[in-house]
This record gives sequence, C-alpha cells and structure tokens, in this order.
Amino acid sequence: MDIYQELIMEHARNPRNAGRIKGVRAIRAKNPFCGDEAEIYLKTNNTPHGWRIADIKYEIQGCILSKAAMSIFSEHIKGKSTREVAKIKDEDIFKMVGGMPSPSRQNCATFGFEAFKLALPKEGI
Amino acid sequence: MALDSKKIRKDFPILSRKINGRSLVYLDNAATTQKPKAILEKLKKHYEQSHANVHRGVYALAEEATSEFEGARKKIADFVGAKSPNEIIFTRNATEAVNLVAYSLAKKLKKGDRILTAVSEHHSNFVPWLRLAKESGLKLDIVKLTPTRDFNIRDFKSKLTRKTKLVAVAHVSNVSGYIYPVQKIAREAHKAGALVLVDGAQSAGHMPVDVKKIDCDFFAFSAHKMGGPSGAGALYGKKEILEKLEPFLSGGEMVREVSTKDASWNDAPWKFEAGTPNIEGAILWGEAIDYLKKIGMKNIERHEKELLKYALGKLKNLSFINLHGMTGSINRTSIISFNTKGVHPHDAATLLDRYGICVRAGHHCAQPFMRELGVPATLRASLWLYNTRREIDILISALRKVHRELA
Repeated sequence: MDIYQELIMEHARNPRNAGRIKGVRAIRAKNPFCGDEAEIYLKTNNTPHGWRIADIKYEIQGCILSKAAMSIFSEHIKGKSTREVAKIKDEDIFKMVGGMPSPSRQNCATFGFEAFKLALPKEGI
Repeated sequence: MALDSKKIRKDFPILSRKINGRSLVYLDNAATTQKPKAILEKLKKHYEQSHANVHRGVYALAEEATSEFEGARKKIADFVGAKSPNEIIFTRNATEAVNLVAYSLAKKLKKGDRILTAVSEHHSNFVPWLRLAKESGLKLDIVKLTPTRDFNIRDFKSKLTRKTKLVAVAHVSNVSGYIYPVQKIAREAHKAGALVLVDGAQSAGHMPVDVKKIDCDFFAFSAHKMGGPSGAGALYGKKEILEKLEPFLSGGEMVREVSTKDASWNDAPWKFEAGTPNIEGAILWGEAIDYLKKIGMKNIERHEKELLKYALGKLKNLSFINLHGMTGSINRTSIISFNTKGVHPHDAATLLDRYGICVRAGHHCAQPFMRELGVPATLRASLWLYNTRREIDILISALRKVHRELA
C-alpha cells in the first residue's frame, strides 16, 4: 500500500476529532517503536442499549500515518457501542486506512487504536 | 591515498541491486554494514574444506578448523592493538560483550559502589548498568552533555569518586558521531581507581583503534558493523583483569575439570566462551579484517571524513534541515543525525526509500539521548568506505523532494 495516498494525506492535514474534552482525564500512550505520543480523551454513556462512545478526542504527536489513522479511527467509533468497538482488530484498522502498510510501518497505523484500548473502560464489554 | 570507490563498490555485490527501481544508496552503516564478497568466498571455502568443531578434536580437520578460528582471534586482537589474542573473548555482539562485563563484575561489586556512564549512550551500554545498579544496590551516575550535545568532561570529573568502580562510555556516539575523549576519560578514571569499558561498536571499522593507547580495560565491538557477519562480536579485556573475573556463562569449553561436586575454570579467554562458539562467524570476521587492512584503516577514516565534510556542507545549505550535535567535522565520524522541519522522521525515511535510499529513522536505541535532544526521533545517515559524493547528492536532492511533498 502507498502510505501517502489521498485519504491519508487528507486526514493528516485535517484531523477529525482532534483536541481535548474538558473534565475528562487524558490517557497517555507512547509508541515504543518510535517515541510517538498520544493523549486520548474518551467519554462513554450508559444508554438503554448499553455503553456507547459518546465522544472521543485526542492529541497526537506522530507521523502522517499515525495521525491519519487516529483521525479515521475516531470517526469510525464515535457513537458505536463499547461492545462493538472492543471487537475491532488490527486488520480492521488496516482496512480503514486503505490497506496494509509495510511491516515496519504497521505499528504507526495501529498506534491510535492501541492508545484507545488503554482508555476504553472495561465495564459493558 | 584516496580510495578507489569504483573498485571498492565492485567488492560489495549488494550495492549493484535496485530498490524501487533505483540504484541502492545504502546510508545505514551505523546499523550494519554490507559485506564484501571476500567473506562469501571464505564461507564457501570453509564449509567445503575445513569445517569441524573447534578445540579438543585430535583429527586433522578439527585442528585445521581450530587453527582458522584461533587465527581469526589473532587478527581481531591485532586489529584493535591488543597485546595478545588471549585478551579477545568472542561474543555474539558488542551488547553481549558489555553484558559479559556487567554480569562478571557484579560478583566483585558491593552495595554503595558506583558506576559512571553517559546520557548519550546506546541502550547496550546503558541498560546493563541500569539493571546491575538496581539489582545489586549500586549507584548509577550519568554524565551530562555539553551545550553542543557532546560528552561533558567537566561533569564527568565531578561525578568520578573513589566509590566509582567502572566507567562505561562509547568510543563514538551512534547518534551524533561524536568521538569521546576516551584516552582522557581512561586516565582520569584510573586515577580514581575505576575500571574503564569503551563501547567501540561505532569506531572499529571506521578508524584505527589501539586499545593500548586508549588504555581502556575493556573494549566491546562487533563484526557486522565492519563488513563481517552478524552474530559475532568480541570483548577485549586486559589479561590481568580477565584472569580475576568470574565466568559469565557456564557449560563446556569454559571448564578445566569437572566432578560431581565442583568445577574449575579454563584460562581466559576460553573461560568466558561456554559452548560451541560462532566458528564461521569468527573466521569470516577475520577475513573482513584482512579486507579492511588491505584498504588501510587510515584511508577509510580519511575517505569518511571527506564525505562527511561534503555532506555537512550540503545539508547546512538546506534551510529545512536541523542538524543534531556538532555541525563541524572535527572530532567526529560520519554519522549524521538530523530532522526535516515539519516532516516526521518515519515519513521522511519511507519517502527516501522510494528513491532507493536507506537511512534510519527513530530513537537509535538511545532514548535518554533523544530526550536531551528534545526530539522523539531523528533521521540518521551513516557512511562507510563504499559511499560516494554522488550518493550524497542523491540524498540531498531526495530530501528536497520529500520536504516539498510533505512539509
């Protein structure tokens, strides 16, 4: 896959859901492969249909692929049930970003997802 | 004598291959170097003619293999200026050589003793000390950097105490290419009664090395960063010190006599070499050394220096490049770390790959150093004897394109 395709470049330049959520504690994550860092702000609501992702925001310091993947992923999960997002796998992330990056760059695509998993509350999954 | 680049490049078959349709421009020599065909031919000859396990075999083939293996030890000893081949212990790599010292020395150190290292070290010469200090109740002191990001000799002197038992520093930084004042460091350390370990992973193969002149007690280095195979490394240790140290690993070859109750150790270096060693690794390393000696270490050093000057001159002209560490060519080797403003190092390295250029992007296994530089990662170009000005030009032109595309 060409990492620098239009979808990736567009999301990296105009990241969706970037920023913070007031009053929500940030969950920090670091990518050990490259030193990239992210802070995830996650708000979940208990609805009659179970727990849902009410809002997600983030701050990320990273490469184009990690920024774009975070943006695409945040759009994808907003409003979904926590049960549903807990089922997401690395392969789903690769599909979202338009293909499988080369082995040394796969962790860039999944970094935001890994950070999100740290922030996801265990109840309701 | 100037190097004959054209001739040298022909000795390295891989340099004629294409990457992404472009000629390979290999600038990641600090990670590992490419191999001259002399060692391929040697491997073939060894397997076809002289392979057997070394030592103890009384048949001719084993004696031949042992003689080749121990001959390689002699070549390696001479290459770094050791007094005797018995001062060379074979390991898997420089990291294992450092760990050998850490584990063997641990038995000699007591609570409250201090180890002194630097913030600019590769993890291989940092984590073993961090761990040893934690596990044995030792204190780890860490030398800071100067404003130009070099080893701070003043801070070093102030942290050197009578309690300091070991000073562990690199010969050359794997991030900035800076050459540590190892002779001065060793002199000061010895005055304070400390032993000195020098991590020579980035110096051996790039400049003449003389462990006697440095007067270090240990010198760790590896084959694969100087044209030899991976999986072979060595620890040089002064004979009188190796004799006093306990073995690192236990098993066959490192023993003299074993009963059901006790065992006694072989002489150094073999008491540190439990199990069948990397026989062909050592022999090929010896062959790589023969190759380098033919070209001449002084000539290789000069060639790298000239290329470094050329590359620094070009990089300084690019307004979007931030060079880390010294921007001059004095007191350093041809390892260049830099960032492209507005472009993440991984993006830059991936795009440079499109032009066939191999550079490293990341923290270079020196996370404490990266923190000091204030960046999560850098791009690193590192040169060797086969690199050319033309390759530097290709890098510069590709960097311009990368910056235009992504910044």
